[in-house]
Amino acid sequence: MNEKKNEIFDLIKMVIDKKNNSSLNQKIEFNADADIRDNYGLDSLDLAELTVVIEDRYGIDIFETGIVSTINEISEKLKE
Amino acid sequence: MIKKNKFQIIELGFRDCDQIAKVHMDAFPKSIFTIIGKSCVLKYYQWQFSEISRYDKLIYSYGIVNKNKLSAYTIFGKPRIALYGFIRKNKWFLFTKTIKLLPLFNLYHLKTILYGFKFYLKKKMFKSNNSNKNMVIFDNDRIGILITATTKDDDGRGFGTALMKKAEKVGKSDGFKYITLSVRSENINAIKIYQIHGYKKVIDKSGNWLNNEMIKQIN
Repeated sequence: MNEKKNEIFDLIKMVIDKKNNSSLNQKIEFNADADIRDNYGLDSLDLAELTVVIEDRYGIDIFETGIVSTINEISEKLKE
Repeated sequence: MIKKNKFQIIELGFRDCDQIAKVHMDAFPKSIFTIIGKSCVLKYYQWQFSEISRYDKLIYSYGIVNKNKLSAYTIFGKPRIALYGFIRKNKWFLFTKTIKLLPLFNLYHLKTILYGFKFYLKKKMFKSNNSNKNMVIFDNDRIGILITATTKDDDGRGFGTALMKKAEKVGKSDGFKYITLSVRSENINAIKIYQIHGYKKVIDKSGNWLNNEMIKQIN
């Protein structure tokens, strides 16, 4: 379970790296219960990209059946 | 302990127009309806729910709520040109309000008003030439997202995406082949997001983007 949360965190970092066009200059801390928008500064476009990379990896659309706002909630969706 | 999701997707109806109008005014502070005032925004949504829905469940609306407060909403359905019906029905209300508030409008607003007026005349001519009694034009194989809005505070939470997925799901289960939406060409981020989620621009034979429309096959 924790492994999956770390994987999701890595994907978030990947989206942020892509946005900043660099390899994570800013250090971000893992917090599975924090709001991903507020904690990692993701905007709508980043979130759309995150949805796609998660769907590519796990075959699940996290917004298909509702709203997710934390790594824990994403992880729960992947379990369903 | 995992924090439970506070936000829920619920179905909206006529009784929710007041909250919907508030979200609209927050999300689109520069829209003509917002500038005209809450009475106009409210009238528009009340019209959506009362007039269009008399065509038997052709309009759907869902919203995202947290503690009874609406944060985002979407309205989608079979009507293709819903705005025309509203302009037609409320032309004198809109005309008098527009004249009164003319000094508040900028160039973009004036262009939109002119476009609306041209659109109204065009449809009026279309109607008289074709004896089409319907004031709203429908498509049978596609469902269209008419509007999606999120309050500024909740922007970036994926509410628009969640509501778009809901519209796709409802459209798919009701047997529609396509889902469409319109987006302003300068809204680059929104266009990218729709493209990421599989929407494509509707292009004519010359390669021009038609009516700022985007389409996705759902069935």
